[in-house]
Amino acid sequence: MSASLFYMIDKKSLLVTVSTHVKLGELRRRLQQQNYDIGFFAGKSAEHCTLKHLLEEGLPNLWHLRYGEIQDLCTSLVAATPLGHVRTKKVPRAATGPDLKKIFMGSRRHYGDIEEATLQIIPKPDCRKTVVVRAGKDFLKRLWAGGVRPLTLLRRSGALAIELEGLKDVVLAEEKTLKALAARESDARPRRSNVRARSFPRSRPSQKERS
Amino acid sequence: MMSGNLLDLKAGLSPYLPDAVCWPESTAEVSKIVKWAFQERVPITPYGAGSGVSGGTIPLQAGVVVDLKRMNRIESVVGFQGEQDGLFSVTAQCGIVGMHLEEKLQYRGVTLGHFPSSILCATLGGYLACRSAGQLSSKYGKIEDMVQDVEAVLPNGDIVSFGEAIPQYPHARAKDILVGTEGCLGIITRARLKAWPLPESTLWRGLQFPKLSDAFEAMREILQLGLRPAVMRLYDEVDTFLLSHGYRKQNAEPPAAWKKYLPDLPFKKWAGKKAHHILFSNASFLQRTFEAFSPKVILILGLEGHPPLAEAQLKAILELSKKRKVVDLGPEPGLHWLRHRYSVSYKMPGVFLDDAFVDTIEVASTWDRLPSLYENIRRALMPQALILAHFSHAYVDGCSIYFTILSRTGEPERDRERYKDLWNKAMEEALQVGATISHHHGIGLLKAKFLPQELATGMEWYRSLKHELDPKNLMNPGKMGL
Repeated sequence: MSASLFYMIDKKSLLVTVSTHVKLGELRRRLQQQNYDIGFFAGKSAEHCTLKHLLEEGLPNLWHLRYGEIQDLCTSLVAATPLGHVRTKKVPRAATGPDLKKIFMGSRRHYGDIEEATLQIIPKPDCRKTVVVRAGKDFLKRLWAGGVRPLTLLRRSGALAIELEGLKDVVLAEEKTLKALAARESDARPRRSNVRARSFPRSRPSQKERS
Repeated sequence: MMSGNLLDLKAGLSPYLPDAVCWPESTAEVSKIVKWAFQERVPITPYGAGSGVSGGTIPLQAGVVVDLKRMNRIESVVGFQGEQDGLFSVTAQCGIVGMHLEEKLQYRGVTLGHFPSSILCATLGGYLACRSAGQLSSKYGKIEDMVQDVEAVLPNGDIVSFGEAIPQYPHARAKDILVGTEGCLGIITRARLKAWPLPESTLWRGLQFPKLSDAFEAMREILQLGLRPAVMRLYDEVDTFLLSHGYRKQNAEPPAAWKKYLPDLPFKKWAGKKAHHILFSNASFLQRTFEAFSPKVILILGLEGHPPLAEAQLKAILELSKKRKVVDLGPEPGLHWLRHRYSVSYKMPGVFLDDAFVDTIEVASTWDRLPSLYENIRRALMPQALILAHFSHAYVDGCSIYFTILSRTGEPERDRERYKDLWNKAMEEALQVGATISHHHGIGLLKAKFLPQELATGMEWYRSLKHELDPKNLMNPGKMGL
């Protein structure tokens, strides 16, 4: 990647300012060289997309549960508009009128051409782990109530694969929490044999009962 | 009501009054009122519960005040995205008071995670109008992070329903245009918000640091390493002194029985008032004394979730802070804050009754500029006011600073001048550092003259939005510098 597309890393505030012509894969490689990453992943094919494309189309983030969408990761931007260049302020949050950057993002260049963006970055995680648990209907509610912050969730035939990342000790504690929550749920679930043994009133009477 | 208005009242100036107040019960009724006002060129000021401190609901040009408090229904609480991710989606009318909304949600095992200090006297519409932030924003975000969609009435009376775009701006989401505009571009009548299952438990801790700069760095590291305490509040030296005094007083032995029978002498009241006068008149000297003799600061943490996980997170935080000589004060400072978290605002009128004035200034910046923002504002205001500050609403890339200023001159007219002077100085310093002039109170009338500097070229864009949607300038006229 040419240096002219990559302006600055603010290591104190964990922000990177780049030209939106930079490709996501190149940006990630450049950040990883310095032990950082970007909390955005939209599949391998999206790594070839430019940042401009991601911001203007608003591609969904597969890691949104932990890091939010691309709109949340973008702290400020510069857009060329018919009224001149609009540079939004580089602040974490504000209450100064509408969030102009959100109007430009996802608008497919109708209101402005995004030329530069400042994005949040993350330090390379200490540990990444996938935990698979058998999960019922209410498991995800318990997961959020339990304070777990997953990277991704993947449900496959009654099992749930949960990807975790962060500080090693915290990831291990999250794994234990997930297992405890799954065990609690299976204890709460009625056993099949018990269900059969008890007679529940049916919503519709059987043929025999009707006759 | 903003502190400036209280000073105006004390100086004998009469407040702005509307010609009429309407209490609609549905979006259709709001639409009828706005259509009529549009035809008759009558100014409209939307109103929630009036907790705003920036003067956003003052009817500057009289006209009609549209009070939305009768629109207070929660319409649905459903699993979000077909319950695929375990979160909820709440649809409610915007006149509902924050505490009522939260209580009704908690009854169903759900929380919005939005707990502003004004929760008892602010509505959902007010939250959305000025991009409010709650005390648990480090985990749940600000209201703009929670809102999924809005229904609104535009200045010409047309309704924009859920899922629809504003006709003039078909390529942007209505919520991105309307949230934060303080009723200047339309009235938000209903909203759909993300909600969370109630946390299993909360672990409270107070951590004492020897220096503010150490605590500040620890706070940044905690967030940047991926930990998300729901509550994270760092108090500076003076604020720490008051907080510690509060929870020590609460835990102190009850007063001796004979003290209860002492009459409430008028002398006691007079002495208290005099003490306040001395305190506020010698603010600068007192400030330095506080900092010299009580340099320690307290960071309050609230960690939500499964108890062993919250314990593990706390352990990681203590490990991170070890190099900064942290002292674990146990749960009491956090629990004390929790018990009194909504009471601070209700103590403010007492200061006005003591012939002084108080106000709060909430600014925010990225972490790299935060120390200079804190120092510069304090340096500018210290000669004229006693300043307390806490760092709350912390994010990965920055944090907000919440200054409380107390001052008095002894004369109502000079109080008004000093008040304006203090605000001007604080805003100028914030703009010079590159910080935002408002993190969650909004712009309203109070900060309107600074908005063009804050938004720079963005102000032209905002003005063009206003011109396009409200060409007659009838929606909340005179606010936000539009």
